[in-house]
Amino acid sequence: MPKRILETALIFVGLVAANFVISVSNSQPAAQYSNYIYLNATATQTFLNDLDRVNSWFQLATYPRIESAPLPAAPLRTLVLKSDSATIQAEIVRGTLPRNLAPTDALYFYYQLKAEQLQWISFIEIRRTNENWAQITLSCQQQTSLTDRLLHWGRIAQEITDSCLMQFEKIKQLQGVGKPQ
Amino acid sequence: MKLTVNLCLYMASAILACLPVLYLSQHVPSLGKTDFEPTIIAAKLVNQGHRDAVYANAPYSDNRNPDWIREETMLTAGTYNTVYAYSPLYLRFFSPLVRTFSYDNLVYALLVINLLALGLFAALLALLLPDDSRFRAAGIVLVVSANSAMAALLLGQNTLPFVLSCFAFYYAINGQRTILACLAFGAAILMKPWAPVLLAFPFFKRDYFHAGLLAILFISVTAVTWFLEPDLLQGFLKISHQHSDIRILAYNNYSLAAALQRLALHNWSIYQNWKIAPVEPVVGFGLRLLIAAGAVFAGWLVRRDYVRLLAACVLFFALSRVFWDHYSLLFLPLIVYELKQLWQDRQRAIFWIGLAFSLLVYYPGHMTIYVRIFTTLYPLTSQFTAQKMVALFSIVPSALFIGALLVGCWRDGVFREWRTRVFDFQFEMAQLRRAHQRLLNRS
Repeated sequence: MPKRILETALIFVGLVAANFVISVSNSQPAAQYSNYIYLNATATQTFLNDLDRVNSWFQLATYPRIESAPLPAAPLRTLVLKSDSATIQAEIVRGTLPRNLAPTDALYFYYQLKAEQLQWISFIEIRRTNENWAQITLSCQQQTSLTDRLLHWGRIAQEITDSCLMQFEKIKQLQGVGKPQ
Repeated sequence: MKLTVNLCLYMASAILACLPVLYLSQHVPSLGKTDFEPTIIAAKLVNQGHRDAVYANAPYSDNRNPDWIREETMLTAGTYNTVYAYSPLYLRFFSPLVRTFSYDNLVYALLVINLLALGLFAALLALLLPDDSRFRAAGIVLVVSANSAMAALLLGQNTLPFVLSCFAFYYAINGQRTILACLAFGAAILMKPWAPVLLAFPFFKRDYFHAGLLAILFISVTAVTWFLEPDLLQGFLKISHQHSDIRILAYNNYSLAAALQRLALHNWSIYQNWKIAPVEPVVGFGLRLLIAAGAVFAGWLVRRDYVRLLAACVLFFALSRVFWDHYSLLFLPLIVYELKQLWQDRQRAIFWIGLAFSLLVYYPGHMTIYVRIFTTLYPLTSQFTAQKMVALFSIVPSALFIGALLVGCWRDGVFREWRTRVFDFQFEMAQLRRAHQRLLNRS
């Protein structure tokens, strides 16, 4: 009987401890996916108006700079930022995308952007829409307030652009695309 | 006496097993939030006289009522942007509580009630397992550490009391306890708008007395609500309709509709964050109706009561577009019971397959599995393949629930009986043909 009680206690404590360890290790991926943003009706309208303004600013101010940026082989042609309430989508047009680039890009960008202190970004995903287009979706963390995102929108857009330029260049160099022959 | 002691012991163990993860979840902001706010906010709004704001929010949308937002911003913790979608009478229980207690006190009280309900649920489930303390201890920890159980505890609002009332209802109908059946059914219809589906159970049993009585009870409750709260009832019907029409492909939606739509869409990950998905394909809708009809057929034909209840649960699972992961607790005792029978009948292969599928659904839970598979497949395969494979994997809950019903029907002898009937019919037809031929030959 005491042996049975001891075994029961060991199984109980062991499984509870195992579950705790699994929960600790799982808390990070779960956090990446919980990116629903709270916006109320009034704020949504303000947000969208401001977004239009920021988008126009972005297109006017940043687009020419991208065009004039020195790039090795296949320059970025344009970068358009779109947004709904929860995500920012950056569509990047490039001259050529190597066929096997998209999956590596996603992970590479994710870690790079994390490293660059863009703490509000919780998840980044790159979808290749066709031969020359890739769509980047960034999701904000739940805690990010509306004001913060509006204030930093322009700066973030700039950082994404710079990061994209830098990363595409690096990846190309890694894969030998942009290397001088 | 021994049973009561065991039950209390199992309940205490279950609560104890929950505590470490509960403690952890309270310290991880993205995991530790609760979803009790909508009921409290709705009760506050009714007390303040802003009755039109209770059902004014569109589900899973940014279209939200200003009065609601004002109340919401006064809460200390963040909210999930969910809406109040329960009966107006349910709100009547909360109105005096909201006047007396603070928001934080109410949240903790609801959390404690849910914790006790989860403990009782796990304890009752442990009693279904073989009488071995080691086995039962493992079962209790596995059940309470499942994502579904934790979601029911923190986010399910009243799912755990609802699951308990369903099983009180099952027990009452089986034992012909009319008063208990009425109380359990009454509690269930106050807690969930889709609870009337439970009427299918006495109906499948051909217990027309209880089916009729409970249908009258449901109509009476609706009539009383209309008499007391006509404006709120209108809002309740409107929001129930909106909820039933919503298409969400998030990981924690286990419904058959969502699983089929994930397969049909080439890229469903853009709808994973509780965004509304496109219109459901007609083929998927047809298939769901077919499975629902099959569940009604199965429920009507079988003789075992737990298979009838399983059929009632599958009926709702197939018809509803939203079936949150924590609703799957409703299936758990039935599947455990079925697996136990299979083990005793030495159908070991089906037992192991069923157990593997059950563990995939209940432990360690959807989020971990889907995220792990997706992140593993993503760098290895093209995105299309990864999407399709994860979409295919999301059918596991449907396969488990519908598979459990099929196994139940098979063990009940429905297929054998119908095969015999078909053979008998063929035999009779052959006899008729022969008789007809003989007549022709004679003439």
